[in-house]
Amino acid sequence: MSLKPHSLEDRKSAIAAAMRAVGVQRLLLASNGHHQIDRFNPVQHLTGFRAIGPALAVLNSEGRIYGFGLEHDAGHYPRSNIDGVTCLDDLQDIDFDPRNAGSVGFATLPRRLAGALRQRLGELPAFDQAFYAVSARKTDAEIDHVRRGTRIAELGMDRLLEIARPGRRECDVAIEVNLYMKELGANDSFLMLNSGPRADAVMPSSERPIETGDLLLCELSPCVEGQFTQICRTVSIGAPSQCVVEKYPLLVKAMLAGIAAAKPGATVGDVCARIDDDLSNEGYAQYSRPPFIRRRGHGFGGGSMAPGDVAVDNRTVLEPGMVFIVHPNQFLPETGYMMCGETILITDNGHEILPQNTSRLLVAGAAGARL
Amino acid sequence: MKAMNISLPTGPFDWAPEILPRAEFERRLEITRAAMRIAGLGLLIVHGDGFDHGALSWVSGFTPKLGAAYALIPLEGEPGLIVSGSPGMKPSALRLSWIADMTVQRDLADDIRKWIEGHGGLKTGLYEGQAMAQAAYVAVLRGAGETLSDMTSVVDDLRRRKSACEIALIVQAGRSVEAALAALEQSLPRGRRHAIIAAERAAYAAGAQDVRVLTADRAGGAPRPLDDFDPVIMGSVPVAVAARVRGYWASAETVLGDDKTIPAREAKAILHALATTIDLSLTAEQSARWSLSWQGIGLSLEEAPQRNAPLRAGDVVCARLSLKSGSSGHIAWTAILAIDPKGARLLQTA
Repeated sequence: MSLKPHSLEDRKSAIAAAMRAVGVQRLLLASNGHHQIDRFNPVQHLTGFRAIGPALAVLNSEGRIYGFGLEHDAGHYPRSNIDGVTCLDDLQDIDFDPRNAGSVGFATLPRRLAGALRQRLGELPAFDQAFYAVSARKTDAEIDHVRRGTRIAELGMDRLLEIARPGRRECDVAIEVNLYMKELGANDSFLMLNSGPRADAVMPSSERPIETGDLLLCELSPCVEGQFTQICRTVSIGAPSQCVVEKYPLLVKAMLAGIAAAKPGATVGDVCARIDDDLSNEGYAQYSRPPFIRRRGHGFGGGSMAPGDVAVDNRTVLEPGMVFIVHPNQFLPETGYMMCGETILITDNGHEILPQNTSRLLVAGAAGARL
Repeated sequence: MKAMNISLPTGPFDWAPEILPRAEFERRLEITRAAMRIAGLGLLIVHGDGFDHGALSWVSGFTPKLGAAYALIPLEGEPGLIVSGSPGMKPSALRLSWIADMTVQRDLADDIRKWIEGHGGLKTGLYEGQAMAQAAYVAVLRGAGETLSDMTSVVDDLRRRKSACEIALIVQAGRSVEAALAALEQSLPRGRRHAIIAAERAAYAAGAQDVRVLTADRAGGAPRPLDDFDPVIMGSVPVAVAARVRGYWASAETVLGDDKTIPAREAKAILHALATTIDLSLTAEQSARWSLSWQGIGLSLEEAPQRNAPLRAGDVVCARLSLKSGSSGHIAWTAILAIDPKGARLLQTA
C-alpha cells in the first residue's frame, strides 16, 4: 500500500504555515494530561511527549517549539522535537507574549489553570480548528506504532480467548489481557469488556462472573507510544445460538461495505452511509440510528482525533495517512448488541485494513474453539 | 505522588456494601448537609472525572470511567448522579455506586435543570468546580440557574477525618504497594518493562483495583511511567508505586536495591521516628541534610491536608523525605501516617 513519507517535522511546518497565513506568531498548546482515547492532545501531537500532568508548549511561526512542564515532567520532553524546555513551579508562571498569539487545547484545561492563564495572558483566540485541519494525517512513525498496536490487540484477543471462561469475573479477564498487551509493548489500554446473555452496549468491565451462554463484547484498544488503535470482537461463551451464528455475518458484511468506501476524496459520512444502507437493506433501518447507534467508528486521540466520528453528517474528506476504526457494533432485536470493527489506514490509492485477521464470531469457554 | 492517568480503569470497581457500607456514605452525607445548611444551600453538585474524582467517590462511591460525572446532593431526600456514556452503558455505571437515581448525561445544563426542578428548585453549591473544564462549568452554571457557591475547601476539610473503614482500606492498599515493590525489586534486573508489569501483577494479586508503577532509568533519575525506553536496570534506582483498593490509595517512593546505604537507613529511621509525633518536625541536624514534606492521601493520591499544612487528628498523610544534596539527584523515601490525637501511627512504609 503506497503512502508518501510524513514526519513530525512536516506536521510542524504545515501548522507553522497555517499560522503565518493568518498572522498568528505563536501558539500556546495546552494538554490536561488525561490521555484519553477520544480526546485531542496538542502537546503530544506536536512533540510526541505524554506528560504526567497538565503541560504547555509554545510553537512559533518559524516552527520552533518550547515546552513548559512541572518538575516531574520538564526534564523528559524529547529533545529531538523540541527547541527548549522550561521547568516551572506552576504552569501559570509561563513567560509568553500574548500579542498575535492563539491557543490550542485551552478548553480542556481545568478551570484553576485555565483561569490563571487567562488572567495572566488575556483571552487567546482558539486556533484548534486550523491546527488539526492541517495536521490530520499520522506520521510514518505514528503509523508504525498503530500497526504494532493493532498486532498487540489481535494477540491480546487470542489471550482473552484462552482465559475467558464461566466463573471468571469480567474485570479479572480485563486485567490479565491488559497486562499481557503491556508485555507485548502497549503502554496503556482502553479495554471495554462486558458479558451477558444480551446487552444493549459495550461497557467497562464489572465484577460480574462470566456465564455459559453469554456474549462477551470486547473493544481492545492498546496504546503504543501514544498512538491508540482498536479492534472490536464478539465472543460466545460456549456454543453460540443459531440466531447469533446467522446474524453476526451481517455485521461483518456491513463493515466491509463501509470500509470499501474508504479512500482519499471520499467523506467519512460516505463510509457510515454504506454501513447504514447495508444494514437497512437487511431490515434493520430503525436500529441504524439513535438511540441504537450514534457512530460507526472514530479516529483515535492521544494526538489528533482526525477524521472524527464515523457518522453520516461528518463531511470530513479522507486523506492519505488518516487512521480510524470502522465498527458497525450493531444492536439487533434478535441478538442484542454485537461488535465487529477494524482499524484502517487511508493510503494514497485506497485503504489498508490493519489487523491480520478480520472480525468473525469467536467462541471461548466450554467450546473453546473459533468458528 | 503524581502518576500518569490511564485511559480506562479495568479492575474491580463495583460498589461493595460489605466493605463500604451505605451507613458510611450516610455519615458523609450528614456532615456534608450540615455544612450546606450553614452555607444556606439546598443542593450541592459534586464534580469528578477520570483524572480527579476523589470528591465524587467520597459522596457516591462512583468512579467515572467514561468522562465526567456529577453527584447532586439535596439537603433532604435521595441524591442523584449524572454520568457520561451512552444510555446502553447505564447498567455498568449503576454497579459503581450506592446511588440508584442515575441519569445518563445528554445535555448537562438541561439534565441539571430538570433534576433541580424535580426537587423544587434549590440554591446550589459546587464541589471540585476548579477541576472542571470551562465548558462543563458553564453548563453546570446554566443548569443551576444562578451563581454557584464554591464549597470545595469546606467539604475537603470534612474529608480529612478518616473513618476506621477508610484507614483499613488505605492499609490494604499499602499491602498491594508492598507486594508491587517486592516484585519490582526482584524483576528489575530483567528490564524496566518486565519489572513494571511484574509489579502491577503482584499488586492486583494482592487485591488492588488499580496500580501505577514508575521507575527511573538510572540512579538518581526521576521515576517515570512505562515507555519504550527499556534498559536493563543496574544498581539502585528511585521508584514510585501507587495502588488503590475500593477507591483508597496508598503510595510509596523509595530507592530499590539500597537497603544497606547510609541515606536509606537514615531515611527509614527518621520516618519511623516521625510515626510517634503529631507535628512531623525534623531536628536541626536532620534538616541540614533532609527535606520533609507531607500531603493528605485517601480517595485521591494528593488531597487535604495540602502540602505541609498543619496536621490534626484524623488526617492520613504521605510523608516524604528527600535528600537535599543536589548531586545525588532524585532520592526520596515515603511513609503513610495516620494522625491520632496523641501522635502518629505508621500505616505503611516502603
